[in-house]
Amino acid sequence: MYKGISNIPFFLYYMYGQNHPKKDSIDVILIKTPTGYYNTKNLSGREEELLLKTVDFYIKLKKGGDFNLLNIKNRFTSPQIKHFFEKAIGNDTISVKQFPAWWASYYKQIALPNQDSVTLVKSSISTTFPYLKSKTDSVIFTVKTK
Amino acid sequence: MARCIFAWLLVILVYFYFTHSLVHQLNLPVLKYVGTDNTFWFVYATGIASFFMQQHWAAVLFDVLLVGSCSFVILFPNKKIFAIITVVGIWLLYIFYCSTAGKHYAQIGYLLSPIPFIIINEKRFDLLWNLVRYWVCFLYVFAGFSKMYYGGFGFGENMSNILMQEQAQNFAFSPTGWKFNLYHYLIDNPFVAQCFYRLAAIFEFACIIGFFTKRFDKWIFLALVSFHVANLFLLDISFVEQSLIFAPFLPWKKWAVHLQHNKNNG
Repeated sequence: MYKGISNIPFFLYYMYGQNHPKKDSIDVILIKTPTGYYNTKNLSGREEELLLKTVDFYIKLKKGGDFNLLNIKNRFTSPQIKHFFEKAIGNDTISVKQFPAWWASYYKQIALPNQDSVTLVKSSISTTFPYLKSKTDSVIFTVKTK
Repeated sequence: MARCIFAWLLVILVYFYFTHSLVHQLNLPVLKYVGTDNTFWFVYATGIASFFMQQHWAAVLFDVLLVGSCSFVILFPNKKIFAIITVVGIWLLYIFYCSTAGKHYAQIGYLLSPIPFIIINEKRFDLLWNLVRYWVCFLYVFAGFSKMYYGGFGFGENMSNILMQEQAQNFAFSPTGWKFNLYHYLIDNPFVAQCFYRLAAIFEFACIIGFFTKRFDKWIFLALVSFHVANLFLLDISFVEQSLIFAPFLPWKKWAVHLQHNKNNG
């Protein structure tokens, strides 16, 4: 939506307005510690967002690159302006590489289970009762937390 | 009134502190999510964001200034400079938080109600306070309209699928208890779940009355509170920061007269 006008807080889009089709399973990101998974629902919504939404964004950046750069490319023609905005609002590969360390520092700050290391995994939950978690997880990254 | 609104805002800032989401608690974030929002672009392009978010001392200074100015408005409500600093601060805090969390449309309630207090002139203040009230009405009407326009209102399974999506994280821990039973019931009975969704859309759309009269503000207030309480129970969406959006629907003038009357009698 690089041509769309989006200005907080004048225009808010969707707000659960779209159709949400039924899926067989829902992807979830889980924090795996040596003693088991940590239930982030015990945290406040803001802490949960900072711990998990950021990971969602990180995965998207790793998979498809920074879509901010695509917005800049489509919005401007001048190479100088493009370069300026790429620096100001883009996420370079160094930032993406530094993300796990930032995540670990935030994890430590909110004093979650004190473990040597934690692993972030992607898993899925079946949408059929009893809503079981898939047996396999795919590792996103492991960080030292001590 | 300024004292009440800014005390309310201060409670929200304290809540942010305890939920580790003030600027110095964001721990110098490395990724930025600005989306296509021009407001976010502006804050990042001018270097304001990198100044406050990439240096720990600046982040601490930002939070101290914000909390300090908000407290000063409570102590000295006539010193407008503190209200201005607070309003600019909360808008920046909102942008810093959202761009770090990788989420654009967080709850904006606390951004709106403090704005009129930057005005000294009483008539202009009234005008701006009414404008904020219309703005809030517009946001909810637009949310209700979106549910109808984008098809969610008519799609019978929408709410049960939203519930499944929002609670999937919870289900990974094999929960039990009445809340789990309620989720399971609503997911299993899309018609009942969709009734809640439609009721919510109607509640939101009903705020359109607020454009024509203030007579029903009490009901709009009740509709908004019930809407957010339902969101809290069903979707785990807390509304602490959004709660300040209710302020324009409260009878401040009536309370002020009542307070004055009590003072005179006392």
